[in-house]
Amino acid sequence: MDVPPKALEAFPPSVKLICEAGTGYNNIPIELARKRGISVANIPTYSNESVAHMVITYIMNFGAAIFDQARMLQNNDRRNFKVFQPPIYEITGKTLGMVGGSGTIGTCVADVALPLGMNIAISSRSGKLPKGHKYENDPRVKVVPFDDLFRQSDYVSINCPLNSETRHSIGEREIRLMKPTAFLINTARGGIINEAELIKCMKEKVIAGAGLDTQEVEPPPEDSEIWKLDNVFLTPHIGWRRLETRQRLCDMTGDNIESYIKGERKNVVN
Amino acid sequence: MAFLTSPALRRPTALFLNSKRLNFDNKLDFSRLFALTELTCNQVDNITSTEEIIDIIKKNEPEILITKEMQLPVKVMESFPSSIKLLCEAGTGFNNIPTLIARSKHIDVCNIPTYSNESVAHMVITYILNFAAAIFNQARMLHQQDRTNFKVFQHPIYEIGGKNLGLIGGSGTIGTAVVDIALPLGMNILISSRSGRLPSGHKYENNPRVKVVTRDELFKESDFVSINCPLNAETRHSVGEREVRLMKPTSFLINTARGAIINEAELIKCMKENVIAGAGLDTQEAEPPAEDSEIWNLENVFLTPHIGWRRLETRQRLVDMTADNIEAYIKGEKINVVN
Repeated sequence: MDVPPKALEAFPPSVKLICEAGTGYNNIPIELARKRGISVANIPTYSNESVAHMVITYIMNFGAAIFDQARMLQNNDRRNFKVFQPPIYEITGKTLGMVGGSGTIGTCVADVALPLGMNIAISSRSGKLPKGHKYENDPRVKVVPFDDLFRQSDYVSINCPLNSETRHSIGEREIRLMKPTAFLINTARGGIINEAELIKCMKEKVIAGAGLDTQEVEPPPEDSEIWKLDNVFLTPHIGWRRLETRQRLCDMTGDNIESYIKGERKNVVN
Repeated sequence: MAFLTSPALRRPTALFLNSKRLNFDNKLDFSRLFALTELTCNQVDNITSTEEIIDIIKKNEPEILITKEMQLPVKVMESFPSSIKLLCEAGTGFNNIPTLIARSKHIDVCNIPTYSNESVAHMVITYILNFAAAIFNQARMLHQQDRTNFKVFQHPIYEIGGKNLGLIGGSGTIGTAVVDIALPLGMNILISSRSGRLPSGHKYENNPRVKVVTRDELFKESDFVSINCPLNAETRHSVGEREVRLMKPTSFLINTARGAIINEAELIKCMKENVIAGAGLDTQEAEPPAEDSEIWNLENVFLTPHIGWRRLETRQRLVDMTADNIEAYIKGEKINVVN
C-alpha cells in the first residue's frame, strides 16, 4: 500500500514501526520515516520457491503447449485429440537463460531446471557466479554475456531486481535476439520489460510465447492489447499469493514485531 | 546427415503402415530408415479396414513391417505374405499385435521398451504445478474474459514444498523420473508397491523422503496421486470411486499411464460431486473420449491427448530406435524382440 509523504507527516507520535508484509518497500518514504523516528521493516526473503516454481510452471506449460490446448478446449475445439496442432518439445537438453539468475530465486529455479535436464545460462554483471555459489562448478551452468543469453536460450526467465538500470531493459531489441521458437517468462517486476515493445513483438510472433506473472501495471488496463494475445499468458503475481507463502509473511511479520518489542532492529531497512 | 550402411549389409524392403500417426507434423527425420531399408511410408494415421491392410501389404510384399499403435487383426496376420520376417512396433505397447500368431509364422515382433520416461514424467510434474497454481481455472476464466483473479484471487493455490506425492506403481522407471523432479520441488514421496518395499538397489532406497506405503494409505495421505503402473488384468479399473473417496478433498489425481486403469464412469461421478479438487488425465479409456462424454465438460478435469510420446524429440527417438531394431535384425541380432 502506498504511504504518501503527506500521510506519514500526519502520523501521530505513537507510530514507531512500519512493517511492510513483503519485500519491496518503494511504497514507503523510508527517509522521511527515519526523520520522524519511525523504523521501517520488511521481509527480505520469504517466497523463493513460490516464485521459482512459477518459472518452472511456465516452462513446463510452454513445452507442452498447455495454454494453447486450454484455449482450444474452451472453444470446444478438440482437434488436438485427432492430430496434435501446436509444436511440443521435451524439456531435457533445452537452454534456460536467467537474467540476473545468480541470486536466490535464480538458484531455486536451477535446483529444479537441472534435474529437468536443462542447461542453464546466467547473465551477471560481474561475468561470473559469486564465489561459493551453489552451482559455481556445475558444467551445465554457465555465465554468458547478456546478448548471448537471449540468442542461445529456449526459455528466458527474468530474475533480477527492478532498479533504474533494469527498468525497461528488456524490449524489442532483446526479444529480436531470441530464437523464434523461444519463450520469455517474467516473475520479477513488470517494469523490467518494455511492455509496449513486447506487445508489438508478440503481435508479430517474433518469439513463440510469453508468460507474465508480473506486468507494468497490475492488472493491465482493461483495454490493453496484452489481454488478447494468444501467445501471451498472464497470471496475477502468483509468487506471493499461495496460501503457505502468505502465512509465512504473517509469521515473519510477527518475528519482526517481536524483535522490535525486544529492542532489536531485525530487517529494518532505514 | 546421411548414414552410410556397410557395403556388406543388405537393404530389405520395409513398409510403415501408418507413418502419419508418428509424423503428423512432417518434422521427423526418416533418413536412417531410408538408408537401412527400401522404405515405403503409407502416410496415414490409421487403417481400420482389414481388406485395406491386406491389400497394401500384398502390393508391397515387405520383409519388414512398421506400425504405430495400429490394430493388426488375426485375419490380417494370417494373410501375411511369407516375405514378412520382422514386425516393428514404433512404441512400447504391443497389445495391438497378435504376437503368438506372429511367432507361429516365424515373424519377430520388436518394440521400443523405453524411450519416453522423462517426457511422461515431466507431464506428471506439469499437472502438479498447474493444479497447485490453479492454472486451468485461471485459463478458463481468462478465456471467458473474467479478470476477477486480477482483483481478488478466486481459487486456492498452494506451495509445492512439503506436499505429498503418491505414485501408484511408482517404483518403476517413470516413477523414478518423476521423483527426480518432485524431490527438488520439496515434495515427500509415497509409493505403493506390491512387495511392500522398493526394489533392492533402487535409486531412492534410502531416501528419508521416499516411503513405501499401502495402497489405501497412499490415497488417504497424498496431496497429488499419480498413476504410474502398467495396464494389466490386475490394474484395469483398479482406481475408482472407492479409491477416489479415500483421497483428501483438496487433492488431485493425475493419470499419464493407461486410461483403463481408472474406472472412468466412477471418476466422472466423483468429479461431478467434487469429491476431490481436480483430475489431470493425459490418457483416457477411449482416446479421445466419446464426443458426448461428460468428461469433456467437467471444470475440475483437464484432458490432454496422450502428450507422453507426442513431443518432437520423443517421436524422433522412436524413429531412431526403430532404426536400431532394424539394423540389429539386418545384422542377424535380436534386440527388443517380444515374442
